[in-house]
Amino acid sequence: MIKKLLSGNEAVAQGALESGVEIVTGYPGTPSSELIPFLADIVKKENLEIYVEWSVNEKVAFDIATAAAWSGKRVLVTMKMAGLNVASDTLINIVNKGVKGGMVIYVTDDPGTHAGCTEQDSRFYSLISLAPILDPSDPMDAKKLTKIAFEASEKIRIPIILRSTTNVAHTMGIVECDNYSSSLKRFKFKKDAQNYTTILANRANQRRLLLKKHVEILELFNKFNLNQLDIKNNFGVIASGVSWTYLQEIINYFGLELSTLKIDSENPWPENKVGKMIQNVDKILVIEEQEPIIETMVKKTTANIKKIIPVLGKEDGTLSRVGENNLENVASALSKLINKKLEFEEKIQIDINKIKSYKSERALTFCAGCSHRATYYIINKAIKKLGFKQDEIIVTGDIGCTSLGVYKPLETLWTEVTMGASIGLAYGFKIAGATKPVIATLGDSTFFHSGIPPLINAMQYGCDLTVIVLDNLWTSMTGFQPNPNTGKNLFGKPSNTISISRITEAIGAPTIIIKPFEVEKSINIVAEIISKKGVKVIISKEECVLQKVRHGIKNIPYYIDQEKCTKCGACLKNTSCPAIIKDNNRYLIDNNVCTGCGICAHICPINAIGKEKK
Amino acid sequence: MKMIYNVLLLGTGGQGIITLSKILATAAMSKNLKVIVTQKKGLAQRGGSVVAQVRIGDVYSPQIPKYSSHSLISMDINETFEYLDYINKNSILLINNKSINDAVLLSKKDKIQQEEIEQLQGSMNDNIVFIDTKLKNKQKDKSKGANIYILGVLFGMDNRINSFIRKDDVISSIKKNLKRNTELNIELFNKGIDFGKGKINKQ
Repeated sequence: MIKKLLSGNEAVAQGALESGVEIVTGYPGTPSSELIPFLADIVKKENLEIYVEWSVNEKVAFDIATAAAWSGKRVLVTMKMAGLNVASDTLINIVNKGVKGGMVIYVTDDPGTHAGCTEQDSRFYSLISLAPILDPSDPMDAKKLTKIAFEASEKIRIPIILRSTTNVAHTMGIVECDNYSSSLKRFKFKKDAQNYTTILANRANQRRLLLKKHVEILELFNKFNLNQLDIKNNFGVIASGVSWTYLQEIINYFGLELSTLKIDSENPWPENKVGKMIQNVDKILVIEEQEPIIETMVKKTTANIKKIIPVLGKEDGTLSRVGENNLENVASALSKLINKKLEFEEKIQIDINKIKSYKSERALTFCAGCSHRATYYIINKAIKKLGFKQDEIIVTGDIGCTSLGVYKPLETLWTEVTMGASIGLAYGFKIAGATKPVIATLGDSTFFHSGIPPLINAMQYGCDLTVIVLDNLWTSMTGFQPNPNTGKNLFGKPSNTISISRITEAIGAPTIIIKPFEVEKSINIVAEIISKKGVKVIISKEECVLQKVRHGIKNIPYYIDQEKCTKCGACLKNTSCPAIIKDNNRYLIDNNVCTGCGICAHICPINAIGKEKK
Repeated sequence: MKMIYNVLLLGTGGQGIITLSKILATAAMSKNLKVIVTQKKGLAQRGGSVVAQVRIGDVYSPQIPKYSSHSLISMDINETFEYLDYINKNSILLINNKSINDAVLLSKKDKIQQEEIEQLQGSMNDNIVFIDTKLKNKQKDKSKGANIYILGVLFGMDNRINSFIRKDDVISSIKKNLKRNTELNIELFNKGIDFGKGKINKQ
C-alpha cells in the first residue's frame, strides 16, 4: 500500500484500475475530464491491457461500454452532467437488461456552476433509471466507493452510477493505493434476444427482476458497511457528498456531539438506518448539495414509521437550493439545529466588503494567438461589409472555446445552449421568420458530437443558412483531447482522420475552407458566402495555438513601434488579447505571451505594429 | 486549539499557483501529515482566476473556513480582493503588487487597490507585505520563479507553518516537483526566506 495525493477524479481512475477495469470510454467535460488522461497515463507507463478512448459523444461512449459489460468485461464510462443527458437514452434502457461485467457510470455535477453549465442534480438519473447510485465525499472515499461499485455491479448484474460534485472531483487528498488488478476476463457474449432486444423481451419480468435487484443491492451495501449510522444524542444530522466533510470539520473544530448518518447511496434508500435515526432523535438536519432528494426521502421515512419530527434542510430555507454548500452555511444550519452559535474565527474589525468592491472584474477572452478571435473578427467585419449592423444578424454559438465569442470586445454570439444546438437553433430562427441572414458557429469536436443531425435536417428541408465550423483540430476547452478530426488517439498514436468538409459536402452543403489569419481575404469570402442562397458551410481551419506552441511551433512575436504609436488603443480594445499590455499609457506587446498571429497588426490604423526582428 | 495550517494561493493562469500547491502538499506528505488541496482553475488561460487552498493537519473539508486562513499568497493584486474575508488579524498576506492580463481587466486600478488593502494593516498586526516580483535573475522571463520566491518569504515570516513543515522539506519537495531550473528555484526560495526574515525584524 502506498499513499498518493490524488484528486477525486484520479481516485476513481485508481479504484477502477485496482478493480480490474478493462474498457474505459468517455467524453470530456468539466469537472470530469481529468479521469481519462490520468488513467491513460498509467496504462501507458505500466503497459496494462486496458482499452481507453475519448468517444465522439457520451451516448456512443455509453453504448460501447454497454456492449463490453454485456461481454463480461469490467467497464467505466465517464462524462459531465450535461453528457449524461445525451447518454440517458441508453442508460434508462439497459438498466432493465442488466450487465455481466461490472459497469460503473462516472458522472460529475457542478453545483455553483463554476464551469458555466446549468445546475443539474444527476442523482435524479438514478431515480428515473433505477440504476443504483453512490455519492463519495472525498478522494479516499471516491476510490473506496469505486471498488464497491464494480463489485456490487458485477454481483447483482446492474450498472451503477458513481456521482461526484466539483468539490469532490477537483479536491486532492491522500489516497491509500493498492496494486492494479490484472484479472482479465474472456470475451463472452451469447445470443439472447429475449434479454438484449427490447421488442422481444418480457419487459414486465425485466422490471420485476430489476426491483428485486434493488433489494439485493441494499443488502450488499449493508455488508460493505455503507451508510454508516452513529447514534450519540437526540440531535440528528444526515449528510452526503462533500457536505459530509464540512460536517466532520465542524464536529472536530467545535468538539460537538451529534448523531450522524452518512448517506453513501440515495438509491436504493437505506430505509432501516434512516428509520433507526428517526427513532432515536428529536430533530434532524439534512445536508446535501443541490436538490432536496435525501430530505424528501427522510420525510417519507418519518411518515412510514409514523414518527413525525422536524426535518431541517432546503425546504424550510435552512440551506439553499442554489449554489454549493460551504462550511459557513453548514455551520449556521448546525447552529440552528443545536441552538448554539458556531463561528470559526473573529472577523477583522474593518469593513472588508467596502475594500472588496475595489476588485476589478475580469472578462474572459481568447488566448493570445487564438484563431477563434480572428474568425469572429472576420464574421463581424463580413456582416458590416454586407451593410448590416451586428445586432441585426443572428449568430448562434455553441459549447467549448468558441463560446467565448460572446464576450467583449467581439460579442458576435447571440445564443449558446447545448452541444450542437447552434445549427438547430439557427434553422429554427429561419423558419420562425428571420428574413436577414442567419449564421451558426461551432467547434470541430462539437460538430462531430451533435452538429451533423441538425445540418442534415436543415439540408433536407432547405433554408438560407451559413454554418461556420471553427476547426482547431482539438477539443481544447476541456484540456486538448483528440477528436475524430485530430488524427491521433489519446496516446498520441495515429488514428484515422475524419474530414469535416467531406461530411458536409456529402450532406449536400457547398463547403469552403478559409484560413482565419488571412484576414482580408477571409472577410471577402465570408461576406460572399453569407449572401448566397441555401445551406452553406465555411470551415475556418487553424490548429489551436496552445497545441502549436507545445509542439514547438511559435511565430515571431509582434512589437509596437512606440514612435509611430498614437496610443489610440485600437489594438487592445478590438482584440482583448492577453499579450497586449497598457503600461503608463503606452501600449506594449509582451513577447513572452505573443504568438505572432498578427490580428493586432491588421487592426492598427497607422501600421505601427510589426514583426520583431530575429 | 486544533493543529491546522491553512494557506490560500491566488492568481491567474501561468503564475505558478498550482505548482505552489503541489510543492506544499508533497512537503506535508513527506512529514506524514494529512493534507487537502483544492484547485479551481476554470478557464485560466483565457483570463479566469486560479485559486488553490492548501490545508495541512487535522482537516476534513476541502474548503478553508472564513477568517481562518493563516496566510494568503496572491500573485496578482486584483485576485486578492475576493478572498479577503478568509483572513484574520494574525494572517500573513503576501501580495504581488502588479496585476497582469490588462486585456481582461474591465478597469485597472493597481495603485488604488494597494492603498485599499493597506487600510487593513492597522487591524492585522502589520502582516501585509507587497512584493515586487520582477526578480533579478538570468531568465528571459523575469516573472518566472516569483511564486517560489514568495513561498520563501512565507517560510521566512511565519513560524506557524514551520511547525508543520521545515525549510528542508520544502527544498526536497521543490526537487521532486520542479525538474527544470531546480537549483535556481532553490536559490530563489532561500532568497525569499531571507527577505521574509528581514520583514519580521523590522516589526
